[in-house]
Amino acid sequence: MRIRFVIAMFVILALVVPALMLARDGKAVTAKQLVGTWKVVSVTNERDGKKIDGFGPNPQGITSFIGNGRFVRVLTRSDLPKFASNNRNTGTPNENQAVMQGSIAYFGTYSCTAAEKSCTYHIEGGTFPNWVGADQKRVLTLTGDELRETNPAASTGGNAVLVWKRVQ
Amino acid sequence: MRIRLVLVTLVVLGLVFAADNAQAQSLKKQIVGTWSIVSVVNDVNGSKIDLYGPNPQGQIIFTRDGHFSFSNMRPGRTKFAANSRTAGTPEENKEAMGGYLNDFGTYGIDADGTVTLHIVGCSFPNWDGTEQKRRITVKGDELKWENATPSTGSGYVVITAKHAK
Repeated sequence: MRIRFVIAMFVILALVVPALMLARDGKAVTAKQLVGTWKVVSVTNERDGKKIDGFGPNPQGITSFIGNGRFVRVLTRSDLPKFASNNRNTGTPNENQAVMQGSIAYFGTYSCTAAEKSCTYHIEGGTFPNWVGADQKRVLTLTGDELRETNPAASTGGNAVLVWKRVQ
Repeated sequence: MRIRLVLVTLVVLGLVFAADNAQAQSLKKQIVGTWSIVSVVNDVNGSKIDLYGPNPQGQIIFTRDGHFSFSNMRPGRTKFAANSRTAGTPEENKEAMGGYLNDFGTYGIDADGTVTLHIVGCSFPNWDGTEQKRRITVKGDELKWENATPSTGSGYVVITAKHAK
């Protein structure tokens, strides 16, 4: 009797614990669940074992996933210097460098594969020329209103973990 | 007699306001969606240049809930030799910066059909938090976007875009 009870408990634990862990870790998203606008919460870049805020302590930015399969993303530091000339083409080397290092924007189409638990961005255009025309795979998980994204190959080297909140 | 005059005036004002609002609503209906950029022409004192080369690559999105984004690029910019965004040379940074613009925020339509962009963030920092006016018209499958205050400083910019399927 007692043995049967113990076995039953084991079975229940074996079923419940992974389910709880899965719920806590978030579920892989489908393309449909991504549709909407997301505001950035944090961007953590990990390189050589060190963690840094990829776009400063107070990153600004959004990602919009449209129902027709297109997306756009803009991410910036909140302390970028304005161009003294007020002309985008005549920034000083320091101004251009600050913006390139402290922001990224790109757009294109996206698709998700449930089997691989990942989504791919097909980048058509962006601030960083090396990413233009590239297909980039990201692991995206959703917990309630929070979207967590892992990029194994960040534009600064290393990997990046991005956290987003859905904009109502 | 006087009351009747006041009433008629109120009704007329109401109709004018409704008509204005209907015009704004109808423009909104026309612009909501995704648009692929076909050309970006900067007219400076009559001389016209393709601001992002002859084949710009970009998209404009207006959502029903009042958000917008504008992304546009000059194709063929030099890739960074270091393959890291934070290690561009001054020339690479300048070319990447000058050949791309991306902003986002919310939009509203004035009674006269002018679109006001409330820019939250932009790849060009000077536009962060600014309010900008655009004249936008739609004819069939084509959207025309006119900007009297371009990020390149001078002249007038006309953008044409096609409805993306």
